[in-house]
Amino acid sequence: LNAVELDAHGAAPGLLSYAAAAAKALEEADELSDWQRRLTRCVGRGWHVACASDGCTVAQADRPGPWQHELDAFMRAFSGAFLFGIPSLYTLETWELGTFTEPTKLLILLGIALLVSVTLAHFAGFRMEPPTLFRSVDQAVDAVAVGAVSAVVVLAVLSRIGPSETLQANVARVVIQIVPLSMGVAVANAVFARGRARQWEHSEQTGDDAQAPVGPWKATLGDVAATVVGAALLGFSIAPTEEIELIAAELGLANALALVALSLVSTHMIVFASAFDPERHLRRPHSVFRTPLGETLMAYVVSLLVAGLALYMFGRLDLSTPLGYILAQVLVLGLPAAVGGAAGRLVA
Amino acid sequence: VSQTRQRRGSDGRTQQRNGARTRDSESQRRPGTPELVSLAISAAIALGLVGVLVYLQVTTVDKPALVEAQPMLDQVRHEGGLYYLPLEVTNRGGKAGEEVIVRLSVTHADGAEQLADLKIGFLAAGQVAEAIVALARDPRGARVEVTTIGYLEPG
Repeated sequence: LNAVELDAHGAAPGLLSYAAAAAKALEEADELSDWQRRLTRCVGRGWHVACASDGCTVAQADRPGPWQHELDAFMRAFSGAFLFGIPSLYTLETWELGTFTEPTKLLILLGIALLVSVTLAHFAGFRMEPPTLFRSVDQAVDAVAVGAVSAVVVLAVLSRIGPSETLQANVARVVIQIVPLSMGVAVANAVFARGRARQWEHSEQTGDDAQAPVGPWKATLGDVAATVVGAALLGFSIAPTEEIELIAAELGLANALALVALSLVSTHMIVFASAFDPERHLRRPHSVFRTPLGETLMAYVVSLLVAGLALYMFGRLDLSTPLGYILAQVLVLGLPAAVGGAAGRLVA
Repeated sequence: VSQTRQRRGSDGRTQQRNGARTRDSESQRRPGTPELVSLAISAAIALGLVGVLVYLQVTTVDKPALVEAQPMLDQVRHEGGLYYLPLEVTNRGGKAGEEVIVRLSVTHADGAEQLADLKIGFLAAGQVAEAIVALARDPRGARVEVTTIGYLEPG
């Protein structure tokens, strides 16, 4: 199938130039695997590519419906919020600020969050479509809302807001977190997306940056290493703070279970549901943990181990510490560590 | 490269596809129903927050923190040789207090007196905090007084 034939089928311009380059490369290629690596670039741009010994097939993939498309966008938004906002959510001073900050200052803060988000959304955003003024404003409003919802969920799980607090304290603690969280939403694509992100800027590129296929154990080792690095990056920076002990000391069973669920859902969302990296499964096709759920559970266990190590290294726990308190601290630090681990796997 | 699921059609079909492509391009520029629905929900959340903040600003009483403490003698518990007396500390003022210090004084019938100071990190306007004081003797039947020593103005 050459570029002219693809044009007749309504192929995207990027695919056309790619097909032309690939057709030329086929004549020069020694191995079929070279073709396979090049064709994987098409996947994630709405095309299925399948290669066999007698050639390759390019076909239009089933495009996600508009609601699924929107859901994917919000998955990226929440992922960006978690990745950027976790350190702030774990900071005692931000909770204390919520106790006495005046409503007028909070209103100004909300306005700043909106303005900053409009600017950032124009250059990055969390949607995959080209930026327009409407889309930048739309994404900024979405960013503020996503920041608010994310703050409510995490602060409620950590028992920092709730019915025992006053309305003003609850609202203020949420609004203070909206600034970093909404910024995370607004720059989600710029920092973490690869493959589909801002593809309108790269659709004409035909360079070969695909990676060679890797074996199952090597792929698994790579995932574990990326998880360890990401988890350590966030985990070791938060472990020395007294917030972990404070939250752990007040952590009830329901909150602990909610924390585990939130950690698993957020990391799964970042790596698999957000579509930050739709070609990831092609780059690492043979991991020992073949399913997303398996990989998420593996990464969570690794993140908990990193969290435990970080707490031990900073003297936050030792053998004399009660087992329940050790577990509570590890679970509390496990959320940022797991989020960091997910980011590590995403960018590795 | 051998095949696709779709075959090249006539010129008419090609034009039809070009038309579809144009519509796709237009739909990329125009916000669809899901995008508008999500924007409406997001705007409702953001406006809701603004509304609550305006309400709080309007209803906030512009007066400093006023800390009151109350001993809960009916909730005293006796464990390990100590009597645990809960105190309810309330900020009835319009602003928060930082490092609120409350002093408990228990005077028994024989003249013996027990004193205890408590410090509460932050007490928001309207917030009720519960503190527990451990005493060597049963405070029930004794004269119990709780006084506010002071606090810092935050910010």
